[in-house]
Amino acid sequence: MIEYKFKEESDYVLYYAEKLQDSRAIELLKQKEVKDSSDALYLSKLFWRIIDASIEDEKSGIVLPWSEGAEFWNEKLMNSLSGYLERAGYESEWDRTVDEQ
Amino acid sequence: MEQFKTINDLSAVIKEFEGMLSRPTCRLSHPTLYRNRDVGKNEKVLKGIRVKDWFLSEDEKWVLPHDQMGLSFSSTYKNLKSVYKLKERHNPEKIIDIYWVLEKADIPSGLKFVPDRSKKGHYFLTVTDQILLKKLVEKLKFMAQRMSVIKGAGKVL
Repeated sequence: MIEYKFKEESDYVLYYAEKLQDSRAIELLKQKEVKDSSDALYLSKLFWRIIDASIEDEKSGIVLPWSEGAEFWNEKLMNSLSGYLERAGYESEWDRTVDEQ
Repeated sequence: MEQFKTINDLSAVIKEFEGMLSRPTCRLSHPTLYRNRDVGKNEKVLKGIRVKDWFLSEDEKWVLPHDQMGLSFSSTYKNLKSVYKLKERHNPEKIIDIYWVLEKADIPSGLKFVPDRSKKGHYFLTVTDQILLKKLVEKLKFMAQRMSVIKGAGKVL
């Protein structure tokens, strides 16, 4: 199960999944787990899509509903999501996505 | 530290130096402290300490020990690569250097590294006992002076 160190982290990732209007991501995040390699890859890629979306928001002057900035939450989120994928046996899916960046 | 030509060079160095803990840092930024311009607009920084990273007393004058909070470091090449790429993405116009320390040799008294229980290769630098925030700042400055830097690693990560 995906575990977050901060409550705001789960709010943050869901905020962006909803902003991206990504129903598959929303479902995965609500279930707090992936069921196969395809889900794991999707979650990994979602993380990097969120980074891009949050950077675009910063450039546009959009203020997040939290005191901390996007880079802070992305750092925390990266450890939570990649840590979960490792524990669930999907480390290679995460690594593959990192190598694509 | 010399420039690295290949991924294997850097990966080998990290393996060779067991207990090597690293932090990607934007050039001209401080390796262990933050300036207001390094963080989000509404993010709270006290004397260089990013408040949300640490476990502080209610009046924010003291830093308390915590086994899952503190300043982030990477102990593996894989973790470093992810953090580096994240930093690079957020700061496309800046050069990112990698600062590193040896866990056993370069840590001031009163500080220690603890592993992140939920993420392999990720460590927190935290305090061993409750100390004043200003004392932590002094220790982090001292530690920064003893950190080594790897420049030009971006091309191989």
